[in-house]
Amino acid sequence: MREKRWTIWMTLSVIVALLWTLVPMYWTLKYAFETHSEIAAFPPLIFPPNPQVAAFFNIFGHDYTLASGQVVKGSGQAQQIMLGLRNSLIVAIVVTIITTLVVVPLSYVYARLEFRFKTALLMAVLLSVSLPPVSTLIPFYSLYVQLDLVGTLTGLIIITLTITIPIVTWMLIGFFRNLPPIENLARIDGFSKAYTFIRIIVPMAWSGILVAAVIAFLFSWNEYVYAQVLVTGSRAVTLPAAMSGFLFQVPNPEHLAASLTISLLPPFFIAFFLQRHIVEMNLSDPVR
Amino acid sequence: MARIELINLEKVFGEQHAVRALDLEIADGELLVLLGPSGCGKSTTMNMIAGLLPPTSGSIVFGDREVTDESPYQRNVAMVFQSSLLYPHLTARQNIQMSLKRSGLSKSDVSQRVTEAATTVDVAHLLDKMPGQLSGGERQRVATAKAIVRQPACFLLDEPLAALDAALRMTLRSELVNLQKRLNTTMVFVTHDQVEAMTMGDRIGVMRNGGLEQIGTPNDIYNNPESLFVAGFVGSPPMNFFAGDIETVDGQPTFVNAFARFRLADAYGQLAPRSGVTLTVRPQFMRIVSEAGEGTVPLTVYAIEHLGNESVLIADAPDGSKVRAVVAAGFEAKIGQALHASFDPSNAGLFDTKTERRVAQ
Amino acid sequence: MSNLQFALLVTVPVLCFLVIVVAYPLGYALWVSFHEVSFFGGYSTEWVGLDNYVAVLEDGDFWRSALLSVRFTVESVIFTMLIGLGLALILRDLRGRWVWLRAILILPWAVSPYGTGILFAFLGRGQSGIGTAFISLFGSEETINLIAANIVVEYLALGNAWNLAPLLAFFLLASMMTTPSRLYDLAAIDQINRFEVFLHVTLPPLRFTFFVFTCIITVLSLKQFDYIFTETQGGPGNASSVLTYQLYKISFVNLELGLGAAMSFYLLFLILAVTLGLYFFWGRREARNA
Repeated sequence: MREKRWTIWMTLSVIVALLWTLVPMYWTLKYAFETHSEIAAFPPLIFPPNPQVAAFFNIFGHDYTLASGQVVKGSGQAQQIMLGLRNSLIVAIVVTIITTLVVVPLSYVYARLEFRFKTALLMAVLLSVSLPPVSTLIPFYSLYVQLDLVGTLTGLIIITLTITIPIVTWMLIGFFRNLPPIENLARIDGFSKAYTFIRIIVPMAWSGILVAAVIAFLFSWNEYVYAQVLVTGSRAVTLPAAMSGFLFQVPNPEHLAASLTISLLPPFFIAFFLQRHIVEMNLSDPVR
Repeated sequence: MARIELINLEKVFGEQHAVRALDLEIADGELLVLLGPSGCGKSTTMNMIAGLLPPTSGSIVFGDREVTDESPYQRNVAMVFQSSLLYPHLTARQNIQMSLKRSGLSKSDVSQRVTEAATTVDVAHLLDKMPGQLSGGERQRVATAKAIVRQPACFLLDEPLAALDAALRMTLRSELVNLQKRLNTTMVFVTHDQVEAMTMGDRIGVMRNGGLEQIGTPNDIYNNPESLFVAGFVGSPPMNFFAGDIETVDGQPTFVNAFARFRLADAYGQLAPRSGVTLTVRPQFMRIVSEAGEGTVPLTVYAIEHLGNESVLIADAPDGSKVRAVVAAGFEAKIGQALHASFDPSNAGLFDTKTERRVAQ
Repeated sequence: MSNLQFALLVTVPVLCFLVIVVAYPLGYALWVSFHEVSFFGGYSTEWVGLDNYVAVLEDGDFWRSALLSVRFTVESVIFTMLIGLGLALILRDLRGRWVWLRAILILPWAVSPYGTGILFAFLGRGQSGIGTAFISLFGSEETINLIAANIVVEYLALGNAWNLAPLLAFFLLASMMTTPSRLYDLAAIDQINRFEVFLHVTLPPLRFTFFVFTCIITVLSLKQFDYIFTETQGGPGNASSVLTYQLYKISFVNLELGLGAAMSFYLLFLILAVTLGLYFFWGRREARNA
């Protein structure tokens, strides 16, 4: 009897949690499958009456003919969206690679080795976590104007690295601290610090490094503030900046919803894959 | 193979003096156990012998060679770490091979040496498993194989058995001693378990607060402890202590306190009266008697622990201290019952309470 | 190679990079905050000392925004903690063939702040929002606007919690897994009810995680800009014009760069003061117990 009541409670709370999680996404993403008039209907429709995928063709510049024979015109912003998709991928991949290469040795050193000035050096790296992007925007902008980096991917990559490096360092330090004292074993076996790090620590810490890379990718893929200011309207526009055109310049909910859907796909795949690794990272301590 | 000598070795971490003025000589082929409570400096000493920690001052000599500034690999030591640490992402075979990675041996030589080492400790069938798939005992054996495959100058073992259950510890203990005697390689073994130390060591070095309290054969340490600390740390059940003074009674030096007086053994014949001494008696030497008399302690029964072949009586002395006595298996007493105990004075030890050192006979 | 050398080898390049790209703009902002910058009739700057800092403090809008920021942050922390804990308990109890639901429940974390802003903007609007759709099911023709001046900050905090709670839930889940199951057996023997088990067995080991995330969410919420920018643009009116948004308006719309720079230093102080305060009054105690 008590067990049964518990099961009912549990089922109810799972349903509530699923609604909480999915409804906000569903509400906007369904616009991608509706027409202009369906979106404007009052009271708002809960399900798209005739789901169709016109918006996904439109945002890439293609016209789409509905079943009714009506033609939906391709979006004038298509070029920005396509550029944005390409640039976002480039920026995210480059940032992920550089962040991982820099952060893995950095956080290893702070987590595992004892040396003078350790706290001071670490604080210097981590201080930048608490800087609000809005307050460094103007100086960055003026610096970039002087360096001719406004509207370039290089500029965006550099600025994104200032966000990803401190945050990912912070997360990885905790992970490296939990590894067993394997360096002593390696010293007995006669390996140098560099060999120990590359051939023993890195393979051992593989799951943690993967998680770090994914977090760097997500931060970069989701970055909006700097992109909005530095690359909007240029050849270096990223997906979030391009998408905001549908929100502000040319409001168009179905195109916004369609491009938002596309922008959510890579993070979703990654989050799905990440949740298995986070569990592994925290719970299956390799030795104890 | 090597004789190891530590000369005036010191290690200071910031404010903390982890090892102080340590002189120690370990003979070739000897199994020396470093015994002590946690924080006594035994692991630090071992890490300095291994070359993992540079000493603050002093020197380390292997054979005739000074190795103080050499790396662990140059010293050719093999070490088994706490909980038998292995590379978690490598198989048992790869773990053992890592010891030979820098040896320059040919592939076939390496594989032959690995098989030999694995066979010696009976893990040849486990070579392709990952450490995570091995039991605690199997991991310990693989770690041992990894150590012996190097044919090192000495083995250093840092509490390798601490995480294992009691039965397995007993098996592995004798295996390790047997292996060390067969290979006739110098071995230093660190532990906080006095039973492990007594059963394994050729000699035991008892450490405390970064210094060597006493070094000697297990027999020496057990029967002739030089300090109260060693007397209390070694032996099971633990040593009984009585606090009191020395007075001269009938021309004989006698131990006196509020509830007991014992005439000292003849060896102490010329001892002058002094205050603040501690008398020590092993529980094995305590005899339960029914009548109070010369040289007895009044006791109140607190508990009896039955061990099968014998029992341990635990009782309260009038000053509240616990007194233990090993009694015959059939011994019965009620809790709270009053008893008396005595012992042969020649089995008692005498220490200065303040300096904790043995009082000279 | 000594530890220090190895450490310097990997730290110095990163530090140089951060110094150039973070410290320079920060120094520049400091310089600007002591100047009045004007664009009309050519770009010019004039040293004005502490005038900008004083002007910010005398500005009623600054204090209003600061209060809004604090309100948004406190509410975000509370909502995220409650929702994150609820999600963690559900994630923990999802077993067997329902495990895959875990992947769905953490999805909001992968949505960017600007994406979350867009989602909650459409969700909350009176004309198109879910509130209106819901009451229309019962035949009503009213509109329910969740982005209304009196509740917009709460609504924003709720959306922020939607975005952040899954991450907290995940870390809470990880800590929960390390609680020895023996403790639950002990609780069963003591015959205490589910709520007491939750209070005395489940909750205590999570306190350190709660502390860490209170800090993280406080910093993130005080810094939050893109989410608010895409969801309400500080509106309706200026009902959700938090410090970061006010800062954006002053610097980018009004082009009062000196004033904006001064204000951004107040924001930075606020962030540092709150994190240090949390550490001293809560974190040190938790670190000792941990």
